[in-house]
Amino acid sequence: MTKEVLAVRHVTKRFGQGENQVVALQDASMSVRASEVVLIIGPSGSGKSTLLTILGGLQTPTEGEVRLMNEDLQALTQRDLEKLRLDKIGFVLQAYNLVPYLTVADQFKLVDQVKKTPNVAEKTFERILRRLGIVAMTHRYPDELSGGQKQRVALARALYADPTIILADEPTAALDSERVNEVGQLLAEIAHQQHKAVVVVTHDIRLQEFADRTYEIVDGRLSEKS
Amino acid sequence: MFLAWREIKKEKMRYGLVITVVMLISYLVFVLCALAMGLARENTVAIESWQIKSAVMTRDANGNAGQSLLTEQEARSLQQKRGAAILGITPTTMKRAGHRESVQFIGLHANEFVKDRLQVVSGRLPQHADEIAVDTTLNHARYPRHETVTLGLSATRYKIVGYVAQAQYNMAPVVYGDLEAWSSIKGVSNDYAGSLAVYREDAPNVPRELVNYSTKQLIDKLPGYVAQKATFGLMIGFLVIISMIIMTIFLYILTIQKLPNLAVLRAQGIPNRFLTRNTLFETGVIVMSAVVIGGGLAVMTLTLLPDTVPVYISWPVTGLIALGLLLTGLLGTIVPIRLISKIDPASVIGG
Repeated sequence: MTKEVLAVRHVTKRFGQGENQVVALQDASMSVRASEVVLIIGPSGSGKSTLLTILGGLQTPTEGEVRLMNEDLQALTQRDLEKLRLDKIGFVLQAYNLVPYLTVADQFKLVDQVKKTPNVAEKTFERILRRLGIVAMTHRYPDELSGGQKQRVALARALYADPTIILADEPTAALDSERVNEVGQLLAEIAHQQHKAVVVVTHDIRLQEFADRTYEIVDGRLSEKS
Repeated sequence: MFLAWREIKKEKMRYGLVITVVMLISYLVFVLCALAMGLARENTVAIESWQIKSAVMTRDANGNAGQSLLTEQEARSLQQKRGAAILGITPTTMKRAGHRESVQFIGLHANEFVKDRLQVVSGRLPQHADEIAVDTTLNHARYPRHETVTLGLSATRYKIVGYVAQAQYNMAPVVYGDLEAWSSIKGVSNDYAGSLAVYREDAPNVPRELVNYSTKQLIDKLPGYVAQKATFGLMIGFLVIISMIIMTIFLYILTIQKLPNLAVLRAQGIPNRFLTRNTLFETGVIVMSAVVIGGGLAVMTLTLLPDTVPVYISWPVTGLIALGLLLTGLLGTIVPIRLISKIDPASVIGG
């Protein structure tokens, strides 16, 4: 049995007060282990983005507990959370994912500028770049890349810091079916071969075939699909 | 630094335009400063060249040495203290071969300290009552050495025997001559011995009808000097403030445009202080480049100006202004830095 990387227990998130109060998440519980891809699927406005921000330590839950590598996120200071995001979490976001004025190589060097703990080994990273097919693109700027290439660079960027968990937000948005399969396979490879925990938040059901487990979220209620 | 350099390298046009605008302002500031200093020097450089600490003149003159008349008795009493010199100052007209020049005649005693402090560029200082040494900025062709000129109301022809540097007073070139000649040029009786007494050290106590001025007070009393200095000072000050406002606006717009990218970086765990340092460095690069280019262009412009335009480049003052521009530019980063500190990294999730 692989170790539990992320544990979410009875998490509720409310926004606003009184009559204007909105419950974005209601008593959500889940767990993610290393070497697995967990898909959180749900329609727009279902609360999946709120859940992802809480998993990434970008927001605190109103109630409940989130533990990453057995560390209680609510107990951490903002500075500790920043360090945690830098060292342990790899984000793959759907928009503005890459810094437009940095070349592909510089997107990785930026991590070196701020991160004190070592990044992924050079040889491993070269293998990742080759597998993602972006070795020849390291001197290009994001505006010289296609949508699929950008998403692959974003994945490489997320993996470069050697995180424990990858949190992906709609990684296949605006990609055609061929690219969706490519991204799905990559995420699965990352989980299974590099033993990372991968959480993907999406409304794209085409990614379901690459997931080890799938959670469904509707109106803020999270349930695991059998 | 890492982000700032790469951003400037990628967005050359955008940053080039920002640098151009700040450069034009710094150029204007440097040119105005050199003009202001040039004008100020035309008022004061002669006084500064004497290296005096204080001056005494009549109360009725209200600090204007050209209006002051010391009697023989007053002059004798003021000369008692060591390191004193009696000067006779009068604005007058120098004429030669159809040319007329408004000048300040300053009569000196041969054996007093002021004469030793004059910087003779060529020729020599006057040794007789009918000899003069003129400011080096006067046209040498119109007023050549060994030629004679007439001065004011005096019928005497005065021979030019030398040229003196740093000899401008109250916006006019100075003609140094003998104190004996002063009364006839000014057209006053021989009862008066000079305009003022100047001292290397503090002046002695003086009777009620005389007033003791420090060098600064003496300069500030020059007609129009303070108003002129204040006008230029205000113009330069406003320009520095305008440059700060422009920097703030540009940095605000640039920061607003890249907020989504900065939010992604914050979400990825890049610390706020790293982004803040980059903004400060970016501002430093913009201002420094603008100041260096603006300063260089200003020096080029100033060297091309005709001699009739009074210009003086003081490197310490120029350095202070450059520092002022840099500091106000950095002050302009307060708004964008506040903006960065308020970024919500959660905003990047969910598109």
